Parts: sequence; C-alpha cells; structure tokens
Amino acid sequence: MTTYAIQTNALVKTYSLGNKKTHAVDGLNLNVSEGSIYGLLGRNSAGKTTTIRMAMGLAHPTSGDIKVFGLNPARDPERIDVLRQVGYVPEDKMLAALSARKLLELNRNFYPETWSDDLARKVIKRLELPLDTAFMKLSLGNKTKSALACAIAQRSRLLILDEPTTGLDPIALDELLRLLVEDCTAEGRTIFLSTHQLAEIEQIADHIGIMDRGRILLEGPLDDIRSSFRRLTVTGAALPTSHPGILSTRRQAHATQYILQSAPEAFAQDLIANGATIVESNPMSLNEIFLELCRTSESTAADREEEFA
Amino acid sequence: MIAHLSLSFLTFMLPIVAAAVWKIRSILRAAAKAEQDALPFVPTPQPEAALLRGLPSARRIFLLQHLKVAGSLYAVMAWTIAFIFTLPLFTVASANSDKWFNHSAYLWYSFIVGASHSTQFFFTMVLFSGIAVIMPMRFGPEARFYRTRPIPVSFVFWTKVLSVLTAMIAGAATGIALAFAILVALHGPIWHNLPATIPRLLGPDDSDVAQLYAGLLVTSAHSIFLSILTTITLFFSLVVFLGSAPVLRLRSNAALPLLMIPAAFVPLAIVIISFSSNGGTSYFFRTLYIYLSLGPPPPLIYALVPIALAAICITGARLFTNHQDI
Repeated sequence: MTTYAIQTNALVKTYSLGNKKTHAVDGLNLNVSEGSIYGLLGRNSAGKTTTIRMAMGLAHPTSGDIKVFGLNPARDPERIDVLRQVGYVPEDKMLAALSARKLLELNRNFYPETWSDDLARKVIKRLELPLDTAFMKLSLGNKTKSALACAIAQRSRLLILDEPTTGLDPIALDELLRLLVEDCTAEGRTIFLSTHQLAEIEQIADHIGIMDRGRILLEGPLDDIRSSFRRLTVTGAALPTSHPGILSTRRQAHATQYILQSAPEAFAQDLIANGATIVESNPMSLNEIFLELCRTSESTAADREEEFA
Repeated sequence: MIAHLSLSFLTFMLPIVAAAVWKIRSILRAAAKAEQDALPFVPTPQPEAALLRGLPSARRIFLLQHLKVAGSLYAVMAWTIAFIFTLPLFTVASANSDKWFNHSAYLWYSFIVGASHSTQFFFTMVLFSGIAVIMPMRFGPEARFYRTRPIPVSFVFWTKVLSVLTAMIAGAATGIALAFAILVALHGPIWHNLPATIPRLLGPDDSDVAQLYAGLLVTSAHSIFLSILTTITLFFSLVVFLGSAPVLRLRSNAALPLLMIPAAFVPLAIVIISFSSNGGTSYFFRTLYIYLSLGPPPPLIYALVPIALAAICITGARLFTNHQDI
C-alpha cells in the first residue's frame, strides 16, 4: 500500500482583499508518495508556495484538507509531530537574521534526535557556505545555502524546498542536486520541491505535478508522463478533432499537429487505419509538456471567462 | 536650568549608552574573531539552566532567548522609572518651590508628580514592547522560522507575552521601590511630616499651591503606584490584542507598523483625557483604575477591572494566533 508524505483533498485557499477574492489554490488534489522526489511545477502565482505554506502550517486552508504523513499540519499537537519530521526552505530563504553558523547552531537545538553535525559540515563544504559572514552581507545564493544546510542537516523524513535553486551558481546547483539524490533519498527520505527550473527537476525528480491557477493539471511518475506525451504531425483527410488523448490540435499549412497526453500509439494506429499518414512522431521534453499544458489551461480559462461574461 | 536638564539627561543616558556600546563592541569583536578563525562547523555548547532542565531542548532554547531579552527590558524599565521619579528630588529649586510652605510637602508633591511624568515613558515602552511581541509572531522571517519549528504555538505566544509583560511590571515595581529607597535615604519618610491642614499664611496668589496641597493630602501613593502597574498591564494587553486581531489581513508586511501606530494612539488619548477628567469620564477612569493625578484614589477593588480586561485581551489574542496565516 502506498503511503503518502503529503496528500491534499479538494484543497482551497482564498485570499480576500476588500470585495476581491483570489483563489490561490482551487480544489487541489495532490499525492506525494513517501520516498519520492516530487517536483511541483508551475508558473508564477500558480499556487505552489501557498500549497507549501499550508503543508507547513503557515496558512490555513479555506476548505478541503491537507495531510502530511496523515497528520494535520495546521493544528497543535499534530502540527508538532509534522514539524519534527519536516525540513523546510522557504521561498525568500530568510529564516532568521543570523550568520550561517548561528542559524545552524540555533536550528540544531530544535531537532536533537535527528540532527547530524557531520552532515551539516558536509553540506557546508560542498556548497562552500561562508559560516561567519554577517547576515546583512550574505548574498541571496548564500542565504539559500544556509537555509538548505539547516534543512538537510535535520535529516527529516520530508524535505520541502520552495524554489531551492534561487541565487545558486551552476556549480553550487550541481552540488545541491547531488546532495539531494545521494544523501537524502538514499535514506528513504521524501523531497518535495517547487521550482521553475525544469531542467534541474528533470535530472532528479521521479514524480512531478504541474499546477496552474491553483489546480493540478497533471501528476504522476516522470517516466510515465514522458512516455504518454507525444507530438504527431499528420496529413490526410477527415482527421479527428476530438479524442480523449488529444491535448491540443494545430492546423498547419499542409499538415495537422497533435499533442497527445495519453495512449499515443493507439491514437496513431487509429489514424493510420483511417488512411492518414504520420509524417513525424516525436517524444516531448518536460519543458515542452509544461508549456503545452500551461497554454492549453490558459486558453481553456479564457474560454470559460468569455462564456461566463 | 538648561544646564541642569542637560546634566540630568546625560546622567540618565550614560548607563544605557555605555551598555549599548559594550554590547555592540562585543558583537563586533565576536564577528571579527569568527571571520579570522573560520573554523569548521563545531557547535558551541548551550548554556545550562538548571530550572529549565525539564523542558525539551527546543523549548528551553526558545525560553532562554526570551528571558535574556526580558532581562534587558527589566533593567531599562527599572532604571528609567527610578530616574523619572527621583529627578525632582535633585531639582528642588524650581520656580514654584518657594511658594510651598513646607519643604517636605513640596518634595512629596514633586515625587508623586513624577508618577504622572512617567506615564509618557511607560506608555511608549508598552507600545513598542507590544509591537515587538506581536510582529515577530505574525510577520517576517522570525515568525516563519519559529512557526516551522516543532514548538507549540501556545508556548511561543505565552513565552513572548508573559516574559515581556513580567519584565515591564517587575521593572516598573523595582524602579518605584528604588526611587522610594533613594527618597528615604536622602530626606527620610517625608510623607509623615505633612501638616494636616493648609497654613493660614498662604495668600490669595497661592491658591494653586493650596489646591495642589489639598489634592496631595487625599492622594494615595500606593494606589498611584499600583495604578502604574495595572495600567501597564491593561495597555500592553490592548496592544497585543489589537496587533493579533484578524482585521489586519495584509498580503504585505510593510503596512503593519503604519496600522499599529494609529491604533496605539487610542490608549495615549485615554491617558491624556484621564488627566483632565471629571464627572462621567472621571468615573470611567476610576473604574479602569487609571489613577495618575492628585486626588482621592479609586477603591482598591477596581484594580481587578484592568487585570480582568487584560486577561480577556490576552486570551483573545491567544485565540487569534491559532487562526493566523503567516
């Protein structure tokens, strides 16, 4: 039976500012399996940080629920059990206005059972973190590194990283990805990270979720997603315009381009059986899948708004 | 007069500035030493606190941090209150002093009036302490840091609120006791040497002195000092309550201080009105045990009113913190 590190059910978070209501998260259903590296992808304001804030108990759901290891992160005493098992790197990386050494010393007191000084030293060395530079003098990249060192050295069951690559140079980024894969997942820990950096996610994540406008557009194992998406360029007469597997269709000068999100082989067989010719059949990169899903979501939302108006 | 005031101000500021300079220098020295040594990460041992040994490590560290801050607040509060109260004892030769028929009466009057002069100070302290308690629980990196560590929200709330409130009350009480000790050491128990009636030699030009003395005779020093403590408690709780109220739903932290400061003018206005209160307003302030001017004291039982209100405000603030988004 799969156990979930994070699970949400019809999760909604609405912010009110005067009469205006913003649905930051809108009926989100998310399943993060324990032991996975889960990348939550989305554009700006997709609701990633709000979801993470709710998982950390920093924001309360308007409706629906969110569970971390089956516990409610918003209410004591369950919240305490959740926080004992979670390492967190916030979006702005400002945990407290301290030098990296002071921050690490302070943080280790909160996790006496799991904290590892050796691991802290390893992260400091690999990320080349300056320990004694005053907080005001730390660059964004070094603030990110101190927050990461704290979270990783906690050796928590779950690491929640909100945009963990902000300000990191390519070498530090590479070291971070190695650390996450070698040291964190080797011990069976779960890593849940949100980012715009699709190339990095593609290197380490085994599961992904793509969010837009507070909803999950796609979720699953990365390999399954890659294999189920395909771009087909087709010529022929009486080509179908609707099919459960079609994500989008584009008419070109002499051909039609289909973006398929499931069972591409079966769809291609059907086309060939109906006399169509497959000119090109290409797998899609995560970046292409992400862009296609976001564009489709945007046009669907625009159609819905037009209809509503 | 100006030279005298400058000297008083310097006397007041000297220990505060010296303590601040010492602290800043020690921080800078430690930072410079740390950068020179550039040691690998070897955590320094945490201070042992025998009384807190029963607490889990996370709570112990959090509590110790706040007790240190409370200690500094206590020292500043005690020193400043003692200074404000005793200042008139060193500036006896004011323009009005020769009108007074009795030196002890004038000294005692000056000492008691010191209480009303302390109002502005303790109000400012209460306001900034209240903001300093609430802000890091609702907004910013500190709120996020402690809210995502495994310590109960209730522990964070009560540690912050009670450490600061206790430090302010204990600091004010110590300051008052210190001022009393200085008064007795310099002039003896002058309140025993006050004539029960106003001497006939006071002329028509001295009606203000006569009026003040009549007020002084019925004034209760204990009640004024108790009122300082209950008013600190009430205003602090009010600031904590207002600061925690969910009406402040901001998406940005930057606007919060701008909202807190106007809200804080409400208690300031209450204090100012209390000085010139009469009739209905006088009854209102007596009920709240706000007694900061000469005259008969409110019944002692009324001291329970601000304490009860403070308890309600703090409990309300605590309930708000359960539902706060950070």
